[in-house]
Amino acid sequence: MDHETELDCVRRAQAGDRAAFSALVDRYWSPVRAWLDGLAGDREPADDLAQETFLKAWLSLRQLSEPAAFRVWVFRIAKTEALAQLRKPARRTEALTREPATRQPGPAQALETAEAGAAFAAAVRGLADPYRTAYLLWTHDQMAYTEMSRVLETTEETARWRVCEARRRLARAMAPHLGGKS
Amino acid sequence: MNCASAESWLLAARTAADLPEGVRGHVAGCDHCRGLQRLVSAIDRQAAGAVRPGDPAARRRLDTILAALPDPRPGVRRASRARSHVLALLFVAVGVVGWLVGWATGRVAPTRPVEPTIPVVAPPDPAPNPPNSFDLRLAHFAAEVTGQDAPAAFAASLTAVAQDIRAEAVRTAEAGRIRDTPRLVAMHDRVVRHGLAGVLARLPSDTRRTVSASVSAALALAGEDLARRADAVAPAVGELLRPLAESCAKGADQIRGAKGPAAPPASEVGGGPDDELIRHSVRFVLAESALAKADASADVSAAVAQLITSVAFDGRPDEASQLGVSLDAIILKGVAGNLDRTLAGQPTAAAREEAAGIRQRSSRATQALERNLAKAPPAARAGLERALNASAKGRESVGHSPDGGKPAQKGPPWKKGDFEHPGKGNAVPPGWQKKSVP
Repeated sequence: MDHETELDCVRRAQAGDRAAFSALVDRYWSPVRAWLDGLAGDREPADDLAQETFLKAWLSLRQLSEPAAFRVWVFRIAKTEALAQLRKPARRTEALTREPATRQPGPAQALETAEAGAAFAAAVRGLADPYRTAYLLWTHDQMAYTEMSRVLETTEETARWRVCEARRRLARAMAPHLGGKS
Repeated sequence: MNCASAESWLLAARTAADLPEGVRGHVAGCDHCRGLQRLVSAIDRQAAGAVRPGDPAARRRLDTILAALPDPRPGVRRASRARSHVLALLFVAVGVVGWLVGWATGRVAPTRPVEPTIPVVAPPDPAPNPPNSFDLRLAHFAAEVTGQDAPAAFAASLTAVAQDIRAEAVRTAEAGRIRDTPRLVAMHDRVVRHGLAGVLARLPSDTRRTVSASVSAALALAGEDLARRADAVAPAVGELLRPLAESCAKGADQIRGAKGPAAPPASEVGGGPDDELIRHSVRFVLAESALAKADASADVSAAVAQLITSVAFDGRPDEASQLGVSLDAIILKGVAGNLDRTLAGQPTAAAREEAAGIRQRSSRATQALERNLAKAPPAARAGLERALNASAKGRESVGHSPDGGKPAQKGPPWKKGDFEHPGKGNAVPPGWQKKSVP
């Protein structure tokens, strides 16, 4: 969905067009869910959080005064929702070990081995919240720093710095597994 | 350009194309920076692939829930950053627009008070010709409910009828009908605290939280709105409205706390046909077995038959005919459908006997319509005839012929097979043998 189409969908959704809103949900469901999955870990099912994010987005859609900023706005709702849920006592007691990506490992793809996947999951979990939030946002929706700064309610410079710092720390943690230099 | 400067660029850039020319040149000739570039690219790929697969049904569930949410009111402003205030405003907006939509489609009369719509999962398909009177809407609700089997569908129907009952209660209170309003409040209490709370407790856990939160928030808001209205109107009217506000508030608490259904109200008997219709419809949604559902449906059908008689004698043949359509659906799906399901599942002898009793009871309820037709004044005949015609299939399904209500199986009951022969082995009924002896 290009920017013009998205803008059109937002305007139509604000006028009550549910099909248009559904198209927007289709566009953002995966990145929002993936981001929430990274933020909440095992504390809260990402599907539930994504669902509540979009329900709130629909209900308050007409409060969005800048349709072009829909993406930023929906991620901000997601962040608020995730933070609200994470402040509550944990609902689950399972171990925080995350299953690595389910891909077939190949000899030339060391990154995709289970060991590297587990190490990566641990490294991401080890990041401080601001770094992890910024890095996953930057990764999952390819968001520009300008937009990120609005989602994270900080300056563009700080958003960029958080991403750099997150990548630096991840590189340091993953270098032994990937055969790189830290 | 040195490695430290290049590293900052590398860590901030998504791809090599984002790097300035000078940095690209440095990286091309520097093993350390090239290695870092490869490493962070690999990490980014790992991050993109590390998302756990989600539940594909979650996206579909969202569509289902969204379909039930009315449009928010345009131009609602955020009164506060506090989450509760935002939600409250949203639900006010939702309610107003929901009412406007209802008004536009004729489901809510324009004189009805504005109150929030309770958003709940997918609403039932709208009727082609939405009923206008309260009785018709109740019968339509009963027909809808007795044709369903999913907790989510029950929740949608109960939510809609609770809203309708609230609107009717406000209307009667403001019209000074002091006997009707308390009855409607009790009806509302039964629907919300007994039926809706019970049904929501049965929803799958993944949707229950979201739906219950929406329902309880909207109910709480409706309660606040009614409490404010009660303060603003004449004291006598306010006294009638306050119990309704309390019913909303208690229902909201109960649903928010996921406490399950409350005990049904104490007054189980003595209500009019609409009270009975609601009571047995709620019994239907909470019934655990097909046999129990059939039993509740038979009682619902009896209540609708009474409504038909009342409306027909009131000289409203069109409404009687529409009630006949609802009666038809209740008997076909609620009674006959559930009895068929029961009998298909190898029931016990006791269950079979109970099923036969339910079938007879439902049949008797509709026979009353025929008896009334035989003795009805001319003004009532048209309504009864049209209701009987409209419900012919349903009545036939529980043992009636569509032409005048004669039993489908002729002969005395002991020849139908459902009863033990009263003569204990004799070929003729008791008394006949004695009379035949000269």
